[in-house]
Amino acid sequence: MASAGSGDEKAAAAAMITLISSDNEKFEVTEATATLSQTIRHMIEDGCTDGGVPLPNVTSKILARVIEYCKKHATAAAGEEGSSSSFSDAAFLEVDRAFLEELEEFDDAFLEVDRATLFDLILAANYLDIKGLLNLTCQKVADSVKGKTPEQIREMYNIVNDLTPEEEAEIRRETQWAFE
Amino acid sequence: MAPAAALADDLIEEILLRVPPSDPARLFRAALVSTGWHRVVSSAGFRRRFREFHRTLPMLGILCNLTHRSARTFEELFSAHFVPTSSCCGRRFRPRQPLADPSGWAVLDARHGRVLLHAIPNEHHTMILWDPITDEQVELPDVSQLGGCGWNAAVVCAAGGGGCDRRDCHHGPFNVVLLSATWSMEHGAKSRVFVRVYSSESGTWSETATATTTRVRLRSKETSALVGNALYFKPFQHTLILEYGLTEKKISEIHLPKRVLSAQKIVLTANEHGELGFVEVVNSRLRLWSREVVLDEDDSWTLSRVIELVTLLPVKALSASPHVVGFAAYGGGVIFVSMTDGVFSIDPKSCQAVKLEEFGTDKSNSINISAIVPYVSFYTPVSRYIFLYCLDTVYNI
Repeated sequence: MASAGSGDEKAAAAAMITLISSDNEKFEVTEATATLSQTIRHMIEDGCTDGGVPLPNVTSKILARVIEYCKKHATAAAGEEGSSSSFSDAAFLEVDRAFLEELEEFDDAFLEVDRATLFDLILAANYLDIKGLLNLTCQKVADSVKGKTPEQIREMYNIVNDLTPEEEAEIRRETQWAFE
Repeated sequence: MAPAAALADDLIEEILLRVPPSDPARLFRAALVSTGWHRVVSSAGFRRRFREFHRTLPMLGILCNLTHRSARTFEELFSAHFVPTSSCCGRRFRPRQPLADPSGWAVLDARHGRVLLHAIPNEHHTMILWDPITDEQVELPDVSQLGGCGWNAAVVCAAGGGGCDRRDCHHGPFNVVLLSATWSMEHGAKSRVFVRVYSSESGTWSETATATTTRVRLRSKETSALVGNALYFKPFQHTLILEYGLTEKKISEIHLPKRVLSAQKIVLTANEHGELGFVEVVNSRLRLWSREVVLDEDDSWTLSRVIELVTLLPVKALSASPHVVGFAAYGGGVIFVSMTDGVFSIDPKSCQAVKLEEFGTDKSNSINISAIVPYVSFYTPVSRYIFLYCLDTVYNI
């Protein structure tokens, strides 16, 4: 068993998990990084990670990005835990603020992707159940449609308009004020 | 660009949940993107989750009564306006069905997404409920025989105060509570106060309570407050407040503290602890009072806060005596103050004053803002067109 069997093994930070993308690429990550995903955490708890964790819904391109996100956020979480005992309150707050700022910068840079990738990241965050990443990516899409017309939103995200002209006219009539 | 992966309904929901509640137009435009987006954003489940996700009700706009001194007709003299502070559209209230006698309009109350207005002059006591965003209107049946000592009215959702979490009552049943007062020689120094309640479910008015009170005069210009499960009305030029319990259907009197200096010009408030309060202006100071519901006595009032307007506002704004014109139970509570320089919203918590630019400044002083009623509500799409999807489902089977 690779994992949760004994406390000693768990304490060893070097416990590694292998993730396998849909296109069969293997990624070695620490357990701390992998368990940001609730889906993988449950698999580890159930002891079914021997021989790697197959993720048939995630391509290597997207999985690499997801791991990049998890690594950063897992480090930040560990850093926060470690710092709380060794600093005075003021110093702790200062470190805390610096961490948050750095994370924010990382998140902003992380979201600089094309829109198709953004949707793929949402799908992966949902499948892997990574709350922080789902929140981040969904908020990005919600922010991006600010002030946009339905036509512009469809064009931005390549969404097919499957409303009939009659349906569209009826909904538009009901919500006329939003277009005034 | 490669086609974006299609998102299932639950992920479209995750995205749209994160639209800020102060931008309802964004949700309404999203409803037109595709059948999937429309289905998600118009569903009852989305409405519930959206309210849970954001919790704090947004202020979408402000309703105000304007008096145009140079007007020649009632219609021009008294007009009611919705001034947006969000992505909603501003508009002036105009009745769907013009009345036989053209009249002006004034906002009485706004609560739970609905605005209550009355016609001026109000011989037939015509009242209309208005949704300022969609412009939908419901005219209430006329009320006959109101007392000679004035009246006032408030709108609440049918679940009342305590039973309503103000999150999804926008389209549900509502009640309008109307107080009227009479006085005659035989009453001596007392008034008779009558309460009538209009129920949207029955479509009729019914008398729910009467009481003999200290002699009072009611005035529709004094906005009511809803605290817990009771409505509070401030009679004109008086040092008492009338309480109407929505559950027990009973009127009681609450006396203002003896130290209150300007009982004529106070605005009722409700704080986040569920306490009734009021604001008065004394010499450029806002005095905030609150009342603990321990003992129904004068001394249950506490002067909880004094705010020096001089420290918050430009000096020229204070050249004439300021008036408190409204209160919004929004966030920790916001007070609206009208001054020579315009209307300011004052947040007692952060001690910040913001000028409401929407109102501008009328140099000729020919327009007077007599009341400000905030419109605080969640607003998400509800479509009557949803049945099409149900039909689709049937055909697919």
